[in-house]
Amino acid sequence: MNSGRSPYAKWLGGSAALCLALLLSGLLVPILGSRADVRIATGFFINLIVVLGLQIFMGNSGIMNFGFVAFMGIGAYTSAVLVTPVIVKMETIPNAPFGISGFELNFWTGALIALVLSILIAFITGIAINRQDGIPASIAALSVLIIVHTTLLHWLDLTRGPRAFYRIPIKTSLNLAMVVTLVVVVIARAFKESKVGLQLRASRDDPIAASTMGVDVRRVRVISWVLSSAIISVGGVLTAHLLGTLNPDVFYFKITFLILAMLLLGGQSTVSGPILGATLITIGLELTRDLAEGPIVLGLDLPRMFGLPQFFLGVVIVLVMKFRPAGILGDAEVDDIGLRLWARLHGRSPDAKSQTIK
Amino acid sequence: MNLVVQQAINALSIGALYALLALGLAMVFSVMGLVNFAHGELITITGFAMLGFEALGLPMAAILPLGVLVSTLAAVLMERVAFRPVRGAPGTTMLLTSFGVSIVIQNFFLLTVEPKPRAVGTPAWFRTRISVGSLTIQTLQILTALATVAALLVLVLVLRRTTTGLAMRAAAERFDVVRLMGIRADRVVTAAFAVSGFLAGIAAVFIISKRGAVDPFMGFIPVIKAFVATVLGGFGSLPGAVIGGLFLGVIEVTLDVYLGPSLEGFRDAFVFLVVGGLLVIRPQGLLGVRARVTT
Amino acid sequence: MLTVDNVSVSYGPIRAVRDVSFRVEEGEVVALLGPNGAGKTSLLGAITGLVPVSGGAISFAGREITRQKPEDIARLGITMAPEGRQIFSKLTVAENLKLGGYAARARKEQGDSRWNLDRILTMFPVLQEKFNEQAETLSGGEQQQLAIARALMSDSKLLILDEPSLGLAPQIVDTIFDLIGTLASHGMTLLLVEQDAARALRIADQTVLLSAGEVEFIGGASELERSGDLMRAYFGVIDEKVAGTTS
Repeated sequence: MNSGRSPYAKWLGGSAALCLALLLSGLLVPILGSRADVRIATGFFINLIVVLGLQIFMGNSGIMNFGFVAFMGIGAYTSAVLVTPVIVKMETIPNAPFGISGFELNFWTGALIALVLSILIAFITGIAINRQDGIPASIAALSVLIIVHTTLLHWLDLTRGPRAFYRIPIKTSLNLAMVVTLVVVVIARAFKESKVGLQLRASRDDPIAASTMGVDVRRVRVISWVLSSAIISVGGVLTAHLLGTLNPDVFYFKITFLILAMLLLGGQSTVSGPILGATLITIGLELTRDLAEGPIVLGLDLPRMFGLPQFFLGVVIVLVMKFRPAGILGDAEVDDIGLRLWARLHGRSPDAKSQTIK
Repeated sequence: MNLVVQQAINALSIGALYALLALGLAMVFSVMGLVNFAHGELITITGFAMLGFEALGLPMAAILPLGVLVSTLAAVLMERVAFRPVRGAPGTTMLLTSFGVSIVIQNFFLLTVEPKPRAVGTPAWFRTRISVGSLTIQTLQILTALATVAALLVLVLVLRRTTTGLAMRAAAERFDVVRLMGIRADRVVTAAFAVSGFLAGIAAVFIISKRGAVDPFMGFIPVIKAFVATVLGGFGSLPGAVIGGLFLGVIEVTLDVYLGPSLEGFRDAFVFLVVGGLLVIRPQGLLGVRARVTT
Repeated sequence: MLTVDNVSVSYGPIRAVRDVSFRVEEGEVVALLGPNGAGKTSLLGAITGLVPVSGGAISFAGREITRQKPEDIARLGITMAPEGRQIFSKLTVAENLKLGGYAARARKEQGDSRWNLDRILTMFPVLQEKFNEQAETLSGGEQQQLAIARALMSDSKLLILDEPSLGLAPQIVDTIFDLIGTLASHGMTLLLVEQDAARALRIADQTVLLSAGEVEFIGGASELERSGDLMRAYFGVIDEKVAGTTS
């Protein structure tokens, strides 16, 4: 598995391979596809950003983070509330705190503030949550989501609560989403191969052993938590400015399952895994969505089926856990696979070092 | 003073329900190491079953115990179909499987029934109130408390006096050694699930009677709270689950009282904040033992 | 009684046990010796059914048990006092024993129960003393006795002892081995895995020496002693008393 490449080589090679594939798809879709396809592709890239963000923490630390969508919500609503024009806000949230209804920021400033706020909250929650291990930590992470969701739902003056927060300026183009995705791929891969990433992965596999080797397990977990949450909140910002309208339920359990399924299907240990998982699931969902709408098949009008996509996501998760718990790619990044194939084709043993075990 | 007693009764009756749910979770976890996210769907399944029985014209007196039976059977079925295949897998794999199962069940109901909440009949006398001195207590609350105590007693008897219970306690410590003594692992796990289903069924019947309606996603928040209760009480401990559940009920009702009407909606947020804060101070929970892995 | 035939156990690419064969006859005491990591525990796991066998076959009293579940193998009469004792600490001594006898109750009707509670308590008096105490309050040596007694309660036909001397003071180990000797003299069939080679050799009829998953030597203790090289290689400086005894 470890073919002796340096971390830099792995990072650069791996990122390059993935970015190339994504770039190609991103450039081809508007040429070959319809406007609906472009929208699907944009959504795909945003989901990818969130999944990769999640991978940075979950994949490397081994801790289930069920609350990650909270940061999508924070990013989305912060940016939405700051960037939406005053005219609209006077109507929708006239009594907003901090005088928000009285000013509007440009998209980039708003997004930046959203990012900074998310990092702050991530830092505080990260320290609190990573005092725990395993399941209690997962429950704590989930609590963050519930707290954020409840807050968004009930801070009527700021968010309009359950009612739609609309006319958010549309800023997210396919190209923007794609470029951000490429950046995130590079960051995710860099993190994985970095010293912190390595230490984190060591702590995932054996926390006690890692501690005795001088790894400050809490520190590395908090670092990855903050990085992860920051990226996820960027996904939220892009979501807000793609949909143009928000309500708190957009950032609750439905999207949690979707992103988790994408992460688990492809394999959470790698950066390539989520990309594969996201691709497969997006395609699969589009197919089932046609079904859910009640297409006319063989002259029979099938009824609308709510929840069919989610149903399939659940089935996917259960089947993956039964048959391939490590995900389709397991521990292997695309570049690892590529190198192994290359070596085999050239008749060489894929592993630089192989020993017989005595 | 009256207010305190009144609210104490509220807290206990809510806490009792959390305790029942938390205990079911703890039972399965202690025997199998599985954190069962799909436990909340037992409530949903019970609810829709009750709806079905009502449609069939069965009397209330039959519907309630049948509901508990359905929950017990559903739990056993869940184990057989979804969890037996992944038994022995690492904890996170099993947890994610249960997550998947939960989604499947929720959306199954969504597909086959409408997403809107459907009203369920409850016995009229559930809604009566009794006056004791200057206190007014809902009959439902008394019944909840009684049923919980009864269920706990039955559980303790089963665990301490029956061989199956003995096997369950042993399996919670060392599953493989139990098998080495010729005791069927399958039966022990099935028994644990049956118990968890039974407890969930009792809680479900009361939750549904209180709500008066069922919907496909009704199990989700209760199971999260049940989890929080187990962690609060000390993860993996059966008495801890009960204590945690009661304590959570107390926290909720206290916040209900002290949060003014403007902050009412934020109640759940505050509950989790308080719980989160408690866990930061004492990660092992009330009855738990700290395993130091992180410095 | 027990036949292990070319058995291999693998964990992925690692072969912990390779083509191991040996027999345990009824009434025999067989010692399974070897350094750490030699594959002894994996082999025991294969015999008791806890670990899947990747090659070969195991049979007991004429029946093939290679792919049977641990529960079924235990019910046939193969029981084990596991490494580290692994008693149920929160249960009482009585409850531990009761669980041990769980499977045997089915065979009570057949009347061939050699080991019932009274007999066991007579043999292990300290367990009678602490009958209603929580198992975790027992000392290391007492826990080891409990582990053995518990295994006997299942109407054991073949008793496997995995490292009974582990972590125990020498005098306690003496007591344990006296008990084991008594069991042997009652005609009990024993498979003993031990790090303390000297003691094991003293009571064993046959020795199987395992190293890196393979059998290095099978034979009587006296043959082993005569092969001084083998002794030195695996046991270092040998207790002269052992070298001078034949079993």
